[in-house]
Amino acid sequence: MANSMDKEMIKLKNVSIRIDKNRVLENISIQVKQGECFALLGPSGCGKTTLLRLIAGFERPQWGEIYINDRCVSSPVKEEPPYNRSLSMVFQDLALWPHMTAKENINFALGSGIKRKIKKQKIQEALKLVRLEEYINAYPHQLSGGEKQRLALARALVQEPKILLLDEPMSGLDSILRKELLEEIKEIISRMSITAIYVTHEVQEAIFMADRIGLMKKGGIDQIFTADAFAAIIKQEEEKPGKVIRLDRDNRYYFKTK
Amino acid sequence: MNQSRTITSTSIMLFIIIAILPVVLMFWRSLFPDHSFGFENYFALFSDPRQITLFCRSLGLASAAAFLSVLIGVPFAFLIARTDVPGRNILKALYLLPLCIPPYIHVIAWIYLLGENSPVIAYIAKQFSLGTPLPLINIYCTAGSAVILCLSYFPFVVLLTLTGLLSMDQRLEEAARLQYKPFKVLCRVTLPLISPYIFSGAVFVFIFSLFNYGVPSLLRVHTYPVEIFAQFSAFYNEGLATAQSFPLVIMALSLLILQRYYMGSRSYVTMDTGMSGSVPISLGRFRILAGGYSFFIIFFSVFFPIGFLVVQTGSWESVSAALRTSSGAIFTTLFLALISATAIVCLSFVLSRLIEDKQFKGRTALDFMTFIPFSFPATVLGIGLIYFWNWSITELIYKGSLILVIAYAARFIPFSVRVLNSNFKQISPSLKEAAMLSEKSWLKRIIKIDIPLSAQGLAAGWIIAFILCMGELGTTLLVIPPGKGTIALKIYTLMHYGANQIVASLSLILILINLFFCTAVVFGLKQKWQTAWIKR
Repeated sequence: MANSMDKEMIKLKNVSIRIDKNRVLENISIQVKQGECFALLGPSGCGKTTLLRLIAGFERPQWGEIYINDRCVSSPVKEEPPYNRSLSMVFQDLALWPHMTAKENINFALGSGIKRKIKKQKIQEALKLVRLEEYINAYPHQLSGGEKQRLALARALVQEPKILLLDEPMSGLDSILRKELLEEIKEIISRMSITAIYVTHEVQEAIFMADRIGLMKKGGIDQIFTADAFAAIIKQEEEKPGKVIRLDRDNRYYFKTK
Repeated sequence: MNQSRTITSTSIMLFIIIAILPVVLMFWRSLFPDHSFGFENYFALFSDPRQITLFCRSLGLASAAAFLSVLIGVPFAFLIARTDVPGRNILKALYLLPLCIPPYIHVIAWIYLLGENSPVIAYIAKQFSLGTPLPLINIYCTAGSAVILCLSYFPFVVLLTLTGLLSMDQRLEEAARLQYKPFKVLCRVTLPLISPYIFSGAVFVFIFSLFNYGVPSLLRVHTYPVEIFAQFSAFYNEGLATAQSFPLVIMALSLLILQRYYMGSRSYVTMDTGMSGSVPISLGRFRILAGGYSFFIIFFSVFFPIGFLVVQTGSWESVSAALRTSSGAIFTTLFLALISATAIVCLSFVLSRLIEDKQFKGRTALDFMTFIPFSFPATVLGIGLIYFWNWSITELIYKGSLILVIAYAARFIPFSVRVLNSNFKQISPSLKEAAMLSEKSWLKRIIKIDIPLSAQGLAAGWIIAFILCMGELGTTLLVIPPGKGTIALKIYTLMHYGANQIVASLSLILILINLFFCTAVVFGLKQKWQTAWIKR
């Protein structure tokens, strides 16, 4: 019997998508195992968010197939709606519904068909998990940047998803708060054995969060490293700048020289 | 998924039946003048020099109204959006009020002041021993109509210019202001950036003026819409009436396509509660002059017509008589406006949602289709509706109030669709996507997420539709079922009998109802925002 941790929770087979006549993603194939955190690292416009949106079901691939938990959820002929994919997402702009309080945001994310008493309990647990119990009746605009981030995470986790997609959730936060939140997210993901895909353009963030890192470049996955191997390359670069990797024009993203 | 498909496809079909098919059928029938195919109606149109004069007059009237609206509307918008003009907040609250007053009510006020039976004119003529009409203040002409149409419609230019000013990145202006004086920045940076908005405002004023029936009719200026109405109702020549609308429709459609191209994906309305975030430009010694200019415009477009109607009404007895004799018409108008505005907003909501849905393949075609009713004069649409619904099988609709609801929906859906489109553009798509991850029911997502997020747009669309329905005249004149009456129709009829006090009272009642509903909706929405998510 295969180890449950070896099970492929997300599998993309030769996925390509064209938006407005431009090929945004070209022939992407990746597998993410259960409980693994896979980071997609790359400069702006390389297709990271589009890839995440394909997995979530907001976009449909023109070529290739997407499997979640061994079930084909997306192909040129088949499309499962997002709510049937057993996944949650933390959006880049957090997408907290502004007309709902923290409690209502989480309550709506729980969907229908759950008893009120159980819902209440789950809401309390979710808010406790992210240390926002006292803000249960606060509207998003009444929360600080970090609190909003936590609420978005609570809303995503309350559904007890098997898969969590995180689209640059730390953008716009200062470095101290970012570090604090990253630690919290990592701890929660690991405790709940959630399979996660983490999109970022920050190298250190990817190394800290992920088990493996996929480097994206111009709509394709250029190379895949384990986090440790990638950290070693970065360290080597710091010792001998320009020998192993180089900075891209945004001065943020490193390419390994071939 | 089926739920969403059923509702969206039903809405598209309803829109086509209500707004598109009647005019298509009308043009089709104009090609069969004597039950056989032919272009006789169109030959008759283009070979008659009188028609060319009429066309040129209509164009001249619409162009003058649009030009004057830009002339007064753009500086007005700039003053209230970017400067420290005195009474800025009051002006911001008042500038849309002229839209609560239907154009023919503006005319009525001006006729009382400067018309042929005006005591003011009689006094001037007597004092200076002049004959009437006085040559320089004769309102019974194309120029007079243009000025009144401008006073009625210039808020469209102000609204769109404000939208442009609010949605542009103010740092672009601030960067230029480091080098140049404000006037140069206005000419070289601001105006070029907001020119698509100004052009759009001018196009709206042009089309509304081109199609307006009430103003030229009351001022005895013979334009195309007046001629079309006469051909249909006096000479029963519906074929020629339809053919006559053809050049207007082509002109309006071309302008709308040009406007759409020029506007690109910009919003027509900005759903914003505040104005500029930066420090307003100091007007210095021109401050008083600018304030005077702004209040002068508001005076003539709002206070003057209302004030004059109050004076003309004379006493409370006139209002009471108007209420007593026209209670049926008031109730019918209010009832129809409430039902129609609600139906219009519901249908527009579904259509706008589809237009903004990137996965809906027919969105460009639907977007274009929702523009089509803009390009038909009210009288032409009225004729189309008569052709389409006057059958024994649809008698229940045609002979009941429902025909008026259909007529109003056909005329005014494009307005609320544009407002809601602008609203949807300003809502982050991720808010809807986040809901798609958890809630399976399409209807529940609409009720819990889409509708509350679009509350501002829905309210604005509803108010606009309500005001337009309350004052609609051109189509109502043609399709009103026997025994029914609306305030607009009653005003129009009583004007010709010289019942000035009742006309003024009814006009005031109509304006007050508009103001009451506008205030109630805005106030209700503000209350909601203050307690919840205004600061999103």
